[in-house]
Amino acid sequence: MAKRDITAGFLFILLGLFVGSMSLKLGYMSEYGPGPGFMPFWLAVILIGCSIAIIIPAFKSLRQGTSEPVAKDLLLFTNPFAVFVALGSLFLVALLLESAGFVIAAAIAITLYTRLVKPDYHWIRSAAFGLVSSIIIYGLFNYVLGVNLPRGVLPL
Amino acid sequence: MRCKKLAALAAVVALVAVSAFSLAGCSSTEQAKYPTKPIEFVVHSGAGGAPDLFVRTVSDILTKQKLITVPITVTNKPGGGGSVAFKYVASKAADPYTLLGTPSVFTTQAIISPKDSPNYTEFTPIGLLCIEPIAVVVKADSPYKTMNDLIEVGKTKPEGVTWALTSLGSYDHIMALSISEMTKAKIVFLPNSSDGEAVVQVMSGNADCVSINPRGVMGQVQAGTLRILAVSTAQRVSGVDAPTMKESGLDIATGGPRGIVAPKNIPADAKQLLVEDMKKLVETEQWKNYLKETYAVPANLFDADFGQYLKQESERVEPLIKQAGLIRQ
Amino acid sequence: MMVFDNLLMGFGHALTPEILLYTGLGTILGTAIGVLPGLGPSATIGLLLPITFGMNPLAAMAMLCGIYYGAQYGGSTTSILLNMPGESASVVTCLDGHQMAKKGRGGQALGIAAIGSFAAGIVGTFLLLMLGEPLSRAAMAFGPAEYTILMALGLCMATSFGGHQVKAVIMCILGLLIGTIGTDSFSGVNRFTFDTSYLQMGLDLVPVLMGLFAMSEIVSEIEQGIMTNPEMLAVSTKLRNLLPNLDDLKQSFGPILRGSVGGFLIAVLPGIGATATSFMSYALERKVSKHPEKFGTGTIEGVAGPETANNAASIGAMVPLFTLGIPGTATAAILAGGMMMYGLIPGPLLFRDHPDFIYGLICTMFLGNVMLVLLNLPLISLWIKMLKIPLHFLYPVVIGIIIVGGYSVNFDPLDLVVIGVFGLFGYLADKSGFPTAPLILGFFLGPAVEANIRKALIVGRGDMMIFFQRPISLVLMTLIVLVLVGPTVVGYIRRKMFPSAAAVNLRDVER
Repeated sequence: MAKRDITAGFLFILLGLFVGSMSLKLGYMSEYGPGPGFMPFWLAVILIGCSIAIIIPAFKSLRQGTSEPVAKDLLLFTNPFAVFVALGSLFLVALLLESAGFVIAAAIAITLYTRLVKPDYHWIRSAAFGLVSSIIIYGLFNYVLGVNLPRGVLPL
Repeated sequence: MRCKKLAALAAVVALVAVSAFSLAGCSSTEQAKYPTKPIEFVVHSGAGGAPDLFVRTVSDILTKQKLITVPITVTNKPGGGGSVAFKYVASKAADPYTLLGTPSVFTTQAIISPKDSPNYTEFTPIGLLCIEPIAVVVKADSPYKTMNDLIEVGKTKPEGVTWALTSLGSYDHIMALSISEMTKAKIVFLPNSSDGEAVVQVMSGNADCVSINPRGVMGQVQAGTLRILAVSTAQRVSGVDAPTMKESGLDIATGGPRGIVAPKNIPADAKQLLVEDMKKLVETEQWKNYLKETYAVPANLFDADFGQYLKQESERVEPLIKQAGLIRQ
Repeated sequence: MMVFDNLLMGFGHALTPEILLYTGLGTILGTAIGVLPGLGPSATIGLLLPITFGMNPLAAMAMLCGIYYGAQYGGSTTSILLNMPGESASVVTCLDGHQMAKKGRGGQALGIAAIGSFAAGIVGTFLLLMLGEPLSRAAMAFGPAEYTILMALGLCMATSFGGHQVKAVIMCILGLLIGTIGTDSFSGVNRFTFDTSYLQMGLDLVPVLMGLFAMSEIVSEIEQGIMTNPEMLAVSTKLRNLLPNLDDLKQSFGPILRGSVGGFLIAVLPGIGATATSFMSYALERKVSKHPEKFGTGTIEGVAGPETANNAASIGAMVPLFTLGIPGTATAAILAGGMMMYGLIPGPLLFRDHPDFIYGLICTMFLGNVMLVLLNLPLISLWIKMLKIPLHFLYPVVIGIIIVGGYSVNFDPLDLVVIGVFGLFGYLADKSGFPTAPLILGFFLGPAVEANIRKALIVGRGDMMIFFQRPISLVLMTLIVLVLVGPTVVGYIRRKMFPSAAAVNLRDVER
């Protein structure tokens, strides 16, 4: 766990340095008091301070060997493929939503998720479930609740 | 096995296609007189705000009075300070089935961020229906009785007048900028993110005055806790007991315009019909009622007159916005 | 008493079949949109508003208000069941509510949320009736300086939710930083937009929420290969076994009482809103609790307090609208627009000129809350049944709804990318002990805090003394100092005076 704290701390320090340097370009002060860069600058300073406050004890415990091992359910990326597909499917939907339409985009995402949760589920069944549920969601939101979802290529 | 899968897939696709077509009905009729298919009426902000109410009222009247016989769907395309909706409608060039309700930011957004927002030349002007006045409001127990009192303080006191705005770059901001320019009074602006927030600044004594649509303050004005010093429109506003800016000695006649535009290059017959419909719409009882409830004043500029208006407004506000340093590169 | 005469008259107007029908309709609709993420009460009321013109104003407003407070009842449902807050006010409900659901106590969590919301509705409506006018006058004494300090207090409280305090501060700072993305409302300068027009308006709360909470939870469960939840399957769906028992009610009494009064009072200030109140309530309950270490593991007080507070806040936000015509929230602004269109001008004269309308409306709020609790308690067994759906059907459908909810905020597909990015971030943060709730409050309050600091300094023409000169700001400042430094000082004194008890107290302080 200590190693991860150190990694996170350094990443946040980098972020803080980046934000801090950008904020100074925005204008630290204006006519009356703080300008647009004032708040981001001080936030960056506090961020860096807090990150150091996390890194130091983590280093200490690492050196003394008192760092707890990471619990089993807190391990990162034990199944990177699942994480990648689960989050990547949202990017795919974003890409397809307005060109292909909601029904097709959502059907693909739902199908992928069905297979992700239960990898041995038959893919035709998954696809059928995806299509039917995405049509039902489309009908509910578009016609009953009045949310205009993109029609896309399907003449719904 | 492969064949079976494909067959199943084909069956599903066919089923969807059939049900879809039956839902769509007969959408492919002969090219007849405009309009033959549903019209999409775009609002630049979310459902429920004043711009949304305007578009929904207009489309309701058009439908109820049978001025437009095809269904009108109102779609909200918020985001980008309006530019999302403006860009969307501008992209539909030559399509008379997309209309846009034009708020005041229709003029200002194109000047503030020219990279993201198309300007009025990308659209076909249909009609300017009404102008929403801007009222300058102070607390009832404040020493300011007229616009002149306020300006006098701005000229004499070194700290100037604290002026609450509904938002930065809004029409009320532009009006205050031109007052400051005309009278050389020192005005310090206090930007807010909503009408309610702006009124609170005056109520709590943190701002001397607020420039706002009268709708947001009428309850308190009638109860005698707030006072309207002047309204911005050329004529007095019915239901509001306050002089105009001109009567107060300031050469200002402005307000938030509410109009309707279509994309560029739409067919002449479609434009003609839309303009005629708008002319009929402004005569209806329901429209007159809308004007009364929203304290708006009729404008009734159609077609090329509206185009001329948009041009003049853009030319008028551009130097003010530039001067306030609001233009983004 | 005048008020009771008016109340009697109000019930006379409210207890007609027409009004009751519309109140019921509004509450049902409100519950539904509260449950469906991405559909907020403001959009729904906006869509329905034009349809109601020409209706009896009381019936129309009874329905629209029913949607407004009904949505708060439904809002907790997805937070508890799926760790998916539909809006920012039910974020804190996730912390203990979802843990309860995971332990098979989802019914009790939903039950106490409904009961707390009901209590908040009744207490809030009563306070609105009795103290509305003087309270809203008092609220008008709050200017930018006071708002700044009050919000800073809220942020401080949000970082003391238990767990690693420094990590909580980091997350809160990140939230504040995300809140600065977009066009600065004071100078028109673009901050951290990287020349994209998408970022100019800033990120929206809903996609961030969906990513940080629902997506990260789903992704993490998928990764672990969880296909069913055995504890949830074992739960009986008999309503009798699902409702909170006497012990639960006893434990929740204090949180509900504090939540309903406190939430109402804070929300009377226009612009503070239900989100901050729910966070403050959670922090408060944890502070006064005898077992603060149990917070975050599924304790019922952690649901009762915030859920009551956010509902009381939705009633409290009506106070400035009805009494001064100043809407405190976006939804209240739409209601104000509606009232204008019915020819009723919200403001101080409403109670004098249209007593039949306003007292009638307040009475429908009493009745609506009764209907809501009668509607929501039986629904619990339906929700629990939903949890028994195999996850390979439940999660994909939830994803479909997340897509609709995320997209329909701005009708921009890029919001879905934001969900994905925050899903990944939430996944990493959850597993590394960084709490995500403070980020949401930072993000939600950040722009307002910054705006109020700058407004205060504009009003004071650059003089920092504005934060100390005004009496209310001085009082609030003292309060902050007490909250921040108080526990340490008290601990120090105790240690000096009772050295033997030092060890115990030290642990208290560290928590």
